[in-house]
Amino acid sequence: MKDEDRQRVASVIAANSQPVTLNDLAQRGDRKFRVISMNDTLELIEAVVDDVINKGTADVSQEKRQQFIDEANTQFQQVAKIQAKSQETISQQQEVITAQQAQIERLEEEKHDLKNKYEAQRGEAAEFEQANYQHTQSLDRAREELAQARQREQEAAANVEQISRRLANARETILNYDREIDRLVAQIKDDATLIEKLRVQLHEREHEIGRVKGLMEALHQEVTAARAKSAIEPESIHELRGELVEMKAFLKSLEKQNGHEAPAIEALLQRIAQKEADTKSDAEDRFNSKLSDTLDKIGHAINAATAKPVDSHVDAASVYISKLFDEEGVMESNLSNLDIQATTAKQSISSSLERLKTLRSKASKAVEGDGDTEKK
Amino acid sequence: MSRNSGRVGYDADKEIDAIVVPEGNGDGSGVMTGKGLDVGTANLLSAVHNHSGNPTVKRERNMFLEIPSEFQKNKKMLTQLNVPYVSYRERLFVLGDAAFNLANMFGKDVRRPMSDGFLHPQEKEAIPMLRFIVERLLGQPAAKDEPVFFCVPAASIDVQNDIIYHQGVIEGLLKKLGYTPHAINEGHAVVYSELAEEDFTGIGISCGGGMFNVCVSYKSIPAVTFSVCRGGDWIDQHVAKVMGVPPTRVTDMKEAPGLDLNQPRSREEEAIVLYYRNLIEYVLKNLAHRFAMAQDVPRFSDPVQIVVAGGSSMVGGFVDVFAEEMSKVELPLQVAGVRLAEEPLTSVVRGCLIAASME
Ligand SMILES: Nc1ncnc2c1ncn2[C@@H]1O[C@H](COP(=O)(O)OP(=O)(O)OP(=O)(O)O)[C@@H](O)[C@H]1O
Ligand SMILES: [Mg+2]
Repeated sequence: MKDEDRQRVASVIAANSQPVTLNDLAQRGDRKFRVISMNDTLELIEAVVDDVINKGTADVSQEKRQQFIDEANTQFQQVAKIQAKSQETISQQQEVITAQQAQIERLEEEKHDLKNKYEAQRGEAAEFEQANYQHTQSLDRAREELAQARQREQEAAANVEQISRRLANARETILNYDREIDRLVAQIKDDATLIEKLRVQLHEREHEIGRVKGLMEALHQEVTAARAKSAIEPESIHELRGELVEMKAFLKSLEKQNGHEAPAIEALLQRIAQKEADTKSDAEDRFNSKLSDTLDKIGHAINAATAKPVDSHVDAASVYISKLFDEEGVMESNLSNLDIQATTAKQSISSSLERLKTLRSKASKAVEGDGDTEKK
Repeated sequence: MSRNSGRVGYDADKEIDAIVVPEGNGDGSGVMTGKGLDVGTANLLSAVHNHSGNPTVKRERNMFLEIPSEFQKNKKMLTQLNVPYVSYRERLFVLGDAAFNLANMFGKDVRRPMSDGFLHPQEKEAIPMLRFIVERLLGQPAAKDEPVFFCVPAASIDVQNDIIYHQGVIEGLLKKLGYTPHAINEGHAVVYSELAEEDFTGIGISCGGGMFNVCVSYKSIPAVTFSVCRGGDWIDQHVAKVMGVPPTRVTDMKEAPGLDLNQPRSREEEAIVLYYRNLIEYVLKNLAHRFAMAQDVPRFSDPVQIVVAGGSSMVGGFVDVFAEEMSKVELPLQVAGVRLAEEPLTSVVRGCLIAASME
């Protein structure tokens, strides 16, 4: 083939082909390629041409030659057409690829947007969670408070119940108390008259005692006067004096016998003194016993008036206490195993007890009598 | 005077002085039956006869403390430590002085069955706890239906109180324990134990934890009785508040030896003295007021003796301050003097025992 022909073929190929990168091919989805260089192509064509030429005889006519060249051209045109077709396919696919790339880009953008939205929502969610947590906590607290309030309410109800029970008891108590007060008022009225009477009596007795004391005083003075051998001699002392004179006469006679006048006179004086003392203590005894009697009566009256009528109220309490002791089973203690320290009081109660008993027995001779019979 | 006859192997005249002739309790011991019980806000005391004229006295603080129920497992240990406890429906309580000491150690507040002289109506555990302490003090009756004389406060002139409930509960408790209960006024008990020399004529005052109880007596007969609802506790509470310490701490300081109302040695003591003086002044003002109002105060021809007893009278200088404050108020009777009971803390319970022995 002539160089001139080769170049023409090469320019035809160049005009009918298009350079494509491997990447583009890969994107089109083609994975395997057969590669043929431009030179190889030309050589191939040349070989085909030469082959066609050589098929004939060396003396191929001009006409024949032209026929070969036309055939070759036709063949080549066909190959080129095929190539152009695939080229069209390629560019169509290229368009598809571009469209898809645009799609991808759009999707990418969307993805980015979504991601942003997602981030924003995640932030919101975290805040929400925090708020939710706090809310739950305050809910718990509220619940707890509610429970406490309920508990308090229950306790209050129990308290109210207890109080109303006690109130009922107290009412009962007050009723009893009222009844007792009525009784006491009646009694106090009686007692008041009694006390008044006693007061009058006491007054009279005080008078009487005063009078007795006066008498005793007078007697004492008389005796003293007698002792001093005063010139004034009242009736009674006169009698005593008479007695004394008699005694003295008697003593004189004794003196004559043994000469001991003084002790005898002393004894006589003692007798007189004794008589005086007797009178006095007698009066005192009478006074004391009357006083004790009176006091005793007043005491009874006061006691009755101030006594608290508790017996009628014990019932409510004892019911409660019985319940308490019923719980014995559920109570346990170590008290029975432990000793408690005992001390001896520094102060004796004997003398107080004795004095109190004396005071009481003075007030009531009958009691004293009983006591005596009980003695061994 | 009376004595059971026919006792064998017992020579009363030899063992007992000629003055007291005891009634036997039938067990051949020759010791009189009958017991005294002082039901006080701060202290519970019992007194019984023994062979001497000086009675045997037991005392326990009227307090309790709930301790954590984990201690349920350590009950044995509590017994070994001589700590009295009661366990009650899964709960554990320590009683008396042990409760006081534990509370003081751990800076806690004890619980009290009584306040201001009376049972606490709000304190749910009051009666069970009181019951256990009383049982611990009195033990079993020596004879069937043995009499117990217990003291009750007189009605207060400054606060309304429920004597009936209080007395009813104590009586019920004692009956349940097998005793025959008799109530005696607290001030009257002081008269019995302290005013024999004066033929039981004069004024007995019990200065307690919850209240001051006053009894004017003529020849052993109570003419006027009343109470004032303030006592040692009042001091404790107020000093505790101003000093910012638990009240039991103040109780401890107040009862410590050496405190003198005329010579406070520290800021705390100064606070105590301040409130003590205030209390005494308050009591005397009320006393004067009561006397001024009353027609029932007997007219005494001779000046009368006043005896003060009870724990709150034991502080140094009490009688001086009392006399000093008394000179500031007007009383419608002549006072011969103010005297402190020889053993103030047992005065009431000894009076109760005397009353029981008169039965
Ligand atoms: N040595 C002391 N010095 C000062 N106060 C004391 C002393 N000992 C005890 N007290 C106080 O005395 C009070 C208790 O006295 P007491 O036992 O007489 O009262 P109470 O009988 O229990 O009470 P109340 O009679 O008022 O019901 C308490 O306040 C206690 O702190
Ligand atoms: Mg008391």
